[in-house]
Amino acid sequence: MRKKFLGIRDVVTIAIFTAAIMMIGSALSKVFGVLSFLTAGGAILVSGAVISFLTAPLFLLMVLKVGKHGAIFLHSILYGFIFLLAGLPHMVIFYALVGLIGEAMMMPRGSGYRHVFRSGLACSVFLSVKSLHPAAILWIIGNYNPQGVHGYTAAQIAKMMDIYFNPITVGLIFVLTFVGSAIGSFAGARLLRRHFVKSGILQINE
Amino acid sequence: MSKPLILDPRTKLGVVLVIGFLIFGSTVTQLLLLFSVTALYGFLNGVRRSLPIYVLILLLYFLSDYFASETRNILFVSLAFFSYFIVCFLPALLAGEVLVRTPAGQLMSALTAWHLPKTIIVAFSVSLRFVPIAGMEIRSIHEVMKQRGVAFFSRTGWLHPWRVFECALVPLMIRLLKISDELTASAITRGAEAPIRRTSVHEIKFHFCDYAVILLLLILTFVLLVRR
Repeated sequence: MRKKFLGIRDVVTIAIFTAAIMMIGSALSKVFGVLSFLTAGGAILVSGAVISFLTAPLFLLMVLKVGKHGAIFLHSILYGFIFLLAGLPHMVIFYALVGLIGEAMMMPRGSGYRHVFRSGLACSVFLSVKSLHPAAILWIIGNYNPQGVHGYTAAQIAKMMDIYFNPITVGLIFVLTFVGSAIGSFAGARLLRRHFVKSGILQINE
Repeated sequence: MSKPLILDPRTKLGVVLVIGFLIFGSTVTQLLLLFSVTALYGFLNGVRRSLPIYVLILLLYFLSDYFASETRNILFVSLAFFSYFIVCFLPALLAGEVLVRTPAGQLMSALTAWHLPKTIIVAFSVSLRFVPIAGMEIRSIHEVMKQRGVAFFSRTGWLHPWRVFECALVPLMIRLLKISDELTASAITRGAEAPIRRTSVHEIKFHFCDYAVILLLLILTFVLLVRR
């Protein structure tokens, strides 16, 4: 009989997928960090979309494989804990909220966690909200100490913050990431049907 | 070379949390003080190979900051701005590295002593241990892809992106599932699902070194908060 709550197998699966998603995300973030110099910050707009596109299939597999409530929340909390180790304890709260949003997408009980479309939609919403984490980091640092660099005046930094926290910029990042992760989920679902469902590794509801 | 200090993992976690809060609101001088203290703490705890990299990042920041203020060139100013954000986190990253190097069993025993839920303890320990392994897996998959001529930046890669996407992700997914099965079997064999309290060969107890580190941390916190 399937257990209702997360067991050791589920917890280990979530932890391993979280580490892999984190590795891919941080490697690509470094690339986009360098590209943002060359594109005057333009790369920041699409970085969330590209990272989400590539990590959405892993996220989808994790959710469908575990298939129980709490998987998205635990994944999100783990992300927050890893940020805590990097010196951002505030991010645990951000990720707890993002995790709750992801779980809320699966809220009507039933076959949500086994349903490809529902999981894909939850994945897109979750990754889109998660993509706003650089804004959260900037907001935290900007509010604490905005004058660490001699080349910038307080007014220039305030202007920079205004550009980043402009509703259009934030909205654009959200929409682009949503599109990226929706395409990633679609591609991921195709991969899962072709390689994992056929071989019996994964059971899903269409 | 002297042996690393033996600290209770709870002390290490406490250092990460306190340093994480202290870096916010600190001036560059205060950040330097924090960095010096955590560098010494890292050195005493065995973080010796990566210490020069942290120092190099710090030097890069000072260099770009100097050129930014002298030339006002946008490239140096941007570099200084971004490296400042990295420098902000150096003390916490150093403290975090000390914690990450703690053996998984010792970390789990320490977190159990804090009565944290088993789900969180297992997940946290596994993901911390798995981060470097995930990097190795991704690199080895890319190596095989290169041998088969479907690497990310090869001709095939540009002409058939879907094939590269599939060739990269499917082996990774299979490998992750396989590792999770192996780790689960190992955890269950070690009694991870047992309903009783977990015992450990590691002695989880505060020693003289722990009290000394906590005292120094309290002094540092007091000095930095008074100076603000």
